[in-house]
Amino acid sequence: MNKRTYTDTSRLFIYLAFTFLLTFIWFMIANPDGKTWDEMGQARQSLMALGMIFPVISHVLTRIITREGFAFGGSNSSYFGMTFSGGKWKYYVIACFIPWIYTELGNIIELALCPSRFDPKYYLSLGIEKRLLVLLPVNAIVTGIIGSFAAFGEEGGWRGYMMPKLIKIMGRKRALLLGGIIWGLWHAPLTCIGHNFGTDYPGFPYVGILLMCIFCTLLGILLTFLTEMSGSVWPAVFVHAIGNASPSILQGYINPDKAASVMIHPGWIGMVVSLVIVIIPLIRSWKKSFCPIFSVSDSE
Amino acid sequence: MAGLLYKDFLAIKGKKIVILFLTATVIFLILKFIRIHMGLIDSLTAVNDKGEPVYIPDTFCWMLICCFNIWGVTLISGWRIRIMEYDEKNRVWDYISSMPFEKKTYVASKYVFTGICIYAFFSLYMVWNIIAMAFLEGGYTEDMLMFTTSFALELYCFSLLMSSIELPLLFAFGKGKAMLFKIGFSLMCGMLVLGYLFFGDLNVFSNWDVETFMSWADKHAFALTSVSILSPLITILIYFVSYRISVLIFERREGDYE
Repeated sequence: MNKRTYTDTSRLFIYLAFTFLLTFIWFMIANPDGKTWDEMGQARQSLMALGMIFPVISHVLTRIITREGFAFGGSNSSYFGMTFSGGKWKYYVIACFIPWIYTELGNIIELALCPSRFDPKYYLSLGIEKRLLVLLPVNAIVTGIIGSFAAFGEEGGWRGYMMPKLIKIMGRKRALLLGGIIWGLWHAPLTCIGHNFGTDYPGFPYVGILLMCIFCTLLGILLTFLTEMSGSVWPAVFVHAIGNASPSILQGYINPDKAASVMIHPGWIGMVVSLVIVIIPLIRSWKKSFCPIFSVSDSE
Repeated sequence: MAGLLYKDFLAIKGKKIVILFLTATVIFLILKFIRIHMGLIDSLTAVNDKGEPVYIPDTFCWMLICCFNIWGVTLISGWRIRIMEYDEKNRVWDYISSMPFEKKTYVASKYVFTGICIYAFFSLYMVWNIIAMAFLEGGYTEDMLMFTTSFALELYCFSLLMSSIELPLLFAFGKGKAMLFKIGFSLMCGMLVLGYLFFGDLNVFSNWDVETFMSWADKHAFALTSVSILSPLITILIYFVSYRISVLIFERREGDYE
């Protein structure tokens, strides 16, 4: 009896089909009345956010169905393991602090673009004591790492399965671009209910989806770099989790309700510019290094 | 180390446990969505002393989650002992010592395994909590779930702290003697508390009540919040120090046999 063999492309399609189908069904079930993000309470937002675990579930299902196995290391690895030897520990340390750097930098850029958003007493409306503002980044790092299961849900799928497959199929440059677009499109249901940019901007929700794709592409470069260099998804998981926890002191002084003087969401501009600043030295370092784990096609 | 971790996972019958918890999560999710679809059933709704409606299945969920946290901490304690007992009974170290494993790798595997168990339980608790709180829209049960959330992290930090104390004892004395030590210490603490209750000055507790505690907490809010934020970091630091102590003990213990 001939067993069916699966190519990397077919496995990738199976994975994407599972991810998009399961996640979109989840979003429909978790938000049956079609409320916007701001209309939901925190409990419902958390329930929606549980959809983050479907990429790693899809990764596992794809490996089971296509009989790919679950190696923890090597070229066909799931990248679920952790290795600290060979200097790889530094990527875990970088992962803990880089979200703080690019978030704080992004907030500085946002304030430079929209000085009107600076509110010296905004932290009081958040119920935060002034002395605790300096602990916000530490809190974000600690809670991000401890509560990183949801981020593992995403990165275990995107960086653990999709990006290695895309890089094998089409080379790193095209893979980073396409991977970011796929990741941004996967966020479309959330963007459509105003999760990232609200609902009252010109071109809603299509402009929001486009902005999300651009952001995901840039962040994806950073996350893929960390995964490739460390041989594990966990640095990417930590960056994702800590980034979601908003590690920033300046956020206590930025009032998002104040009108922006630029047409495009200034917070988005700040984050994109700061990510570009952070990514440039990484790309230079990436080009110089030899990474046997993510095998690249001859066209690269 | 992956092999050592997988061995410990099998020693605690990990596959059955994973299937059990995944099944429970799916059932919990299905029941939750059935409840959302059917709405509140009058015969299962009561009114508390404050006149708030309380839906009994929601309250049951809260109690289940609260008990899950406490049960999880005790279960992890039992697994810690189980993996050491398994290795002692099957003389695993004699077998591993013929392979290119360092002693500290073997010790690290126990610490990593315990850490993974605590992380997995805490993550599962968060998932169940999110499912339980969905669609509640305020009320008594949501308040109680929020209350449980406020001490859940500290409970799992306590579990990590207990691991930091217990693992060096297990490496130093083995499972049997370490258990005797643990029981003896617990009995001594219990006897001290009982002794104080019978013969001590209980007037110090006369001014203790919830309002006094709440006003003290308000006065020291910054310190309490800082401790709450930093407690996982401090616990992990203690856990690492415990690992270093266990490595020293285990290397010295092997030396005695030679």
